[in-house]
Amino acid sequence: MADIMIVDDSKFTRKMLSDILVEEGHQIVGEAENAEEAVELYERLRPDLVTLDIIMPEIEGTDAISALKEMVRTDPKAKVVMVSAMGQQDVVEECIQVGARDFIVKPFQPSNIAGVVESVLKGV
Amino acid sequence: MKISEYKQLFLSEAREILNSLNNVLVDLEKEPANTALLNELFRQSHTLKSMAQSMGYEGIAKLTHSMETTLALLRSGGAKLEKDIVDLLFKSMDTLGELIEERAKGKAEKVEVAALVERFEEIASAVPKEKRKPVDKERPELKLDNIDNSASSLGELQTVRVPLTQLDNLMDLTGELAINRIRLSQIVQTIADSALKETVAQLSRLTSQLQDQMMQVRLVPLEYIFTPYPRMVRDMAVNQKKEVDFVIEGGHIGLDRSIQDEINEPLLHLLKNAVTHGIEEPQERERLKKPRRGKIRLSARRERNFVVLELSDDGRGMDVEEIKKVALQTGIITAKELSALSPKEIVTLITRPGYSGAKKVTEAAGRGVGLNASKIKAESLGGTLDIDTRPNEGATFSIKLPLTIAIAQAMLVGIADQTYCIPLSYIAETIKVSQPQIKTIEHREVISYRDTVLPLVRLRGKFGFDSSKLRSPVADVPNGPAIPVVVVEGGAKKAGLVVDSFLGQQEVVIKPLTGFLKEIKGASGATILGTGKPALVMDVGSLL
Repeated sequence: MADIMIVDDSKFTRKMLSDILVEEGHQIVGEAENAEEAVELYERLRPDLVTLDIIMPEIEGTDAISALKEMVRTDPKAKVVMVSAMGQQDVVEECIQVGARDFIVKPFQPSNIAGVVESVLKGV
Repeated sequence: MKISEYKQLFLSEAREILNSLNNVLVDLEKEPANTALLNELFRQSHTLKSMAQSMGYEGIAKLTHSMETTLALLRSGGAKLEKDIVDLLFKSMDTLGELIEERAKGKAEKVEVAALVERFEEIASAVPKEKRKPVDKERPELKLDNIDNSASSLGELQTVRVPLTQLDNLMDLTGELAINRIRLSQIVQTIADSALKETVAQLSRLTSQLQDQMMQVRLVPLEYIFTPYPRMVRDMAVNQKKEVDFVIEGGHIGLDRSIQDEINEPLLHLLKNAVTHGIEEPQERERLKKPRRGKIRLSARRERNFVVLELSDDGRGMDVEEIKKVALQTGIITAKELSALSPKEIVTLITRPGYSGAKKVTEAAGRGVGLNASKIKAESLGGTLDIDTRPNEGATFSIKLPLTIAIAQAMLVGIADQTYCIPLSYIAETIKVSQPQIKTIEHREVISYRDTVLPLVRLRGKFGFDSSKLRSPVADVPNGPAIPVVVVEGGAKKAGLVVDSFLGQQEVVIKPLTGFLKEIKGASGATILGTGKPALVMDVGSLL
């Protein structure tokens, strides 16, 4: 069981993702709906894993990638999994280069999510 | 269970996103070069797309996908935001709305998206290949100074969703509690026990605080009804080939949700009137040396326990002389009556039923369409509708509404041994007049009041009491200035309500009249007094 934080601008998506993760036995310790909130919440909660939606509202120049960079900068061990839709492969690659551990694709497939989360948690 | 829960969440969020998409596009149409707006549009359609994909709602998913692709092209500079693309996007949003509502009704998506999708594909294929790949926008580095650590927005904004019926029940119970509190305070007057008095005083304070909090809970930001307006105004303006800048101010102001539901329709009517009859054609405006683009402003502000909604335009306004002509022509007023009215009162003639029924609907008459219904609605909610206008300068319609319908300050008056409540919001003042001051004009009793003629309404007669069998208050004091009159005003109309006695002022919890009681003329609700007896709350609007 891991402490997981969900970052997504859509309530609907947060609910869906959280249900899948809870079903897998994890605990959702926090939810953020924009990148700025995400950075702040990460600092406070230091969860075991973060799911981070790639496309999010920009608050004062903070978007998903800069939030990712910031989490990794303050906590090099941060385990961030990107959430993306089909066809955003180039952005996903960029995220992996700056420190994201893996990615999951919308629409969600529970088995895929469970697998990705499991392997990221096991990795160092 | 799960699926329906997701569906509800999907529907409410999808509607929110659609509203926001519409408003962003209305803004973007005015500032096509604003990349922040374009990004926002892109992001929101993307969010809607992935939600629809998760739900397996194919039509919505397909259409938002096409929108997203085109928006990406616009973002990369591959395509330009021409009028046809704007129209196509608006049309797509309308279709999305239909699709969402079909899903809400539990139907499959019947509305066709293929034609729209095809149009988007045509746009995409017109763009040279090398430009099709979306270019990522620059990403500024995150600076920690930008993050506000002082107030944790997350910690403070924790919310729960509560069904409205539960809130209504809580409100009802709070109302009952308030009634009993008033009752208890009256009983305690007769008992000499200081500890009991203190406790009751404390209880009273707590109950008012509770009522206050309950009222706050029911307040919803006016955005609840305002959000779709910009798109509607834009469409009306485009259809009528007018150019309009529409501004909303004070959307964050809270107002009871059920009042908002009721006032939405009248507001839409006023908005429609402002575009159709207020704002002139661009050429006409230029000729009048006005800016080509007309301005319509909808603002909300809080005034103590009221919210004032003001809708103003800088259009052609209304001419008092024109209104007089139409009023006479439609026969809603006689020349003699007309001569007694002030210019402000003349303007309110346009809210009379039948005003807009002028045979040739002229501009002056057109403005009255639906106004009567709007006025009645505002008044039934315990509010007022006021009009201010100058020819060629525009018109302002102000709707003043109580924050909440359930609790009001009222004056208690006695009529034929019965107690009635008059909401304080209508009362201008209370006066006492003597019989000789009462004059008769055209079989109607009037008094002279502050340099004007004030019609009197004898409530005994109005409520069907046989005045001959009851002690008349006038008979009690034959010569003194003794007839109690409550001067009430609604809109620009005033009247003096003749009652038997003034009994005092108190907070009343208004309960709606239901069933056959609904038909009672002159009453808008009922309450229970401190004595435990019920009393009718007067519907002042209908007495004027």
